[in-house]
Amino acid sequence: MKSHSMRHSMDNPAPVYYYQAFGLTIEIPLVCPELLPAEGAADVAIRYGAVPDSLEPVQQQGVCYQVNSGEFLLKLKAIAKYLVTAGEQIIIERVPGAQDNEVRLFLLGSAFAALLQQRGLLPLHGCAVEVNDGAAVFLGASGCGKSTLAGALRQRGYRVMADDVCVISFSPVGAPLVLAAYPQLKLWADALKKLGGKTEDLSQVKAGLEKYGLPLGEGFANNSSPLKRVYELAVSNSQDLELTPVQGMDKLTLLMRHTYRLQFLAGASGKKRHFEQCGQVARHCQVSRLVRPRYPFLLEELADLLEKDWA
Amino acid sequence: MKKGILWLASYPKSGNTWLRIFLTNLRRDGAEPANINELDGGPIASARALFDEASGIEASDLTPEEIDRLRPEVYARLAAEAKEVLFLKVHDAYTYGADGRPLLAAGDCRAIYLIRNPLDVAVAFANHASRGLDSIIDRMADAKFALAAGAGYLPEQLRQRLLSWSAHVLSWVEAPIPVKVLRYEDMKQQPLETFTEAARFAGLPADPARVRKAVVFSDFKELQRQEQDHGFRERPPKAASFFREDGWGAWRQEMTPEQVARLIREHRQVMQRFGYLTADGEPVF
Repeated sequence: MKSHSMRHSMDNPAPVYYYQAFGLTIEIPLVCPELLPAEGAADVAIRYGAVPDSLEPVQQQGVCYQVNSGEFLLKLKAIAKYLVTAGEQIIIERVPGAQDNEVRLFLLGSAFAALLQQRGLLPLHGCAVEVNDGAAVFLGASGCGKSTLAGALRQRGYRVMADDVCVISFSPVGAPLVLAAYPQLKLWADALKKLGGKTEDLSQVKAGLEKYGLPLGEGFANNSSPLKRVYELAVSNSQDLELTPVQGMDKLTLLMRHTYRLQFLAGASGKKRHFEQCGQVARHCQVSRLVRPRYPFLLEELADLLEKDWA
Repeated sequence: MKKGILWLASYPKSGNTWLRIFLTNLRRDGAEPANINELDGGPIASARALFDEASGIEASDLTPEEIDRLRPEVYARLAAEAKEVLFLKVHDAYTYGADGRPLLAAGDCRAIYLIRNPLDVAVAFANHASRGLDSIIDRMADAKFALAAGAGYLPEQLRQRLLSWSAHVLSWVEAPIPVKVLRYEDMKQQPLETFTEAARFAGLPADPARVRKAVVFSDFKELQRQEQDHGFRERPPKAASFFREDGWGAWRQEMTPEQVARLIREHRQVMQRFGYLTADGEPVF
């Protein structure tokens, strides 16, 4: 396979590259080593261009972003501005001197989350692995060990579908489906060490951060898979692992709480759709709460417990 | 009542949790003591979730310096959007960015600053952090000391620059916002008067009956009972319990004369200014 697919169009001499993620073909003006190459017509066009400093009108905003019903603007002073429109287009205005990996990091994070929301998909904050009968997702706050756990499960032969942002689409009857994201895990140096990996061969996701991209290779499941199990991963100061089922309304609030970039959802219709989508996931999935001690991580014990749950 | 943020600020182990428990009880005015696992004043200002939600990006993708450049905007937004006064616990010193802007956004903000005898702080901090007293005394003298500064892993909270203990105190008492300084020792010795001052400054009801009930509900014995029965989620994993009998004057039993002398040497001026040392340099408490 070629390392990437590159074309030049007649009226635009700048090269463009084609990649796939979340079931979409993406046309983009920079090389993205963390993505799988693709061929064919693009669903999403990413280009360089001028991006305004503000949206008109603004429905919601935070320190680095603005949202209205069809647009999303992300502004990072030292890196780039990103304008995401109608779930189909992203315009990037780079700040001179910004590094490609930084531009990609926030493109594939917040900007893509907004694009996927505009397309009516449900992004959850977590990672996903393929289990025999469907996908299992692990949701939780930054630092609770989601990616580390995904890395440990990958070592046990489970293929990883998503890291950090896990995107759900729905079948015509409302059954949730996990869409494969990117073939890499982002891991901090200590997590890599726990998994027996070395930082030397890997690239940092961004200068100054000891956070590395670990390519998944054959350990990536590049397909979609029915979502069957949802785990909320949390840390406590207790000594033991705990796995408890979540029932009723608590399932729904858990899913809403772990929606990725919930604050980007603008307008009543977006919020209503989101509520209904979380309801669909709650109806179709077993939801559990998985609590681990802060120290030690009990990584292998955690993986054992999950395999027992899947048996 | 003015909205915005009320910082509940202190160096670690100086009574911050106790103040939050009191304010929670005062606010709720319940028939029973408030649950210590459901306190107002949280999350702490350095919680990742607070930053991530307000900014729209993840702090885990940024360096501590990049995070510090955005933190003022995060708090300014929280303060501007608060529908009622937002109580936020904070251990950061009151520092300024390269552009002179306060890390903790000055507009619409006020603070209650808790100060405690640094000799007792050292003992409590050593227990809390499961470290030896000498290393804690070093920390308290270290102008560059920060919590959650670890490289190579993702700390649970954002990096918090504490500076030295003395510099922490001075950073807050000289901050360009209204600051009410309360001493831990006064909270112990004159609880009604001291907590009434806190309630007034916080803009909460301060009638004697209500304050008295909240003080009783925040009694140390009650906190220990709750921790024993249900645990306390803010307990550090290596510490046996959070609410320890380590209060008043524990340093007299636990510190060597050399350690005491070293700590006093580092912090003499500030200790004298806040009544922790006599003019002759003798500890007051």
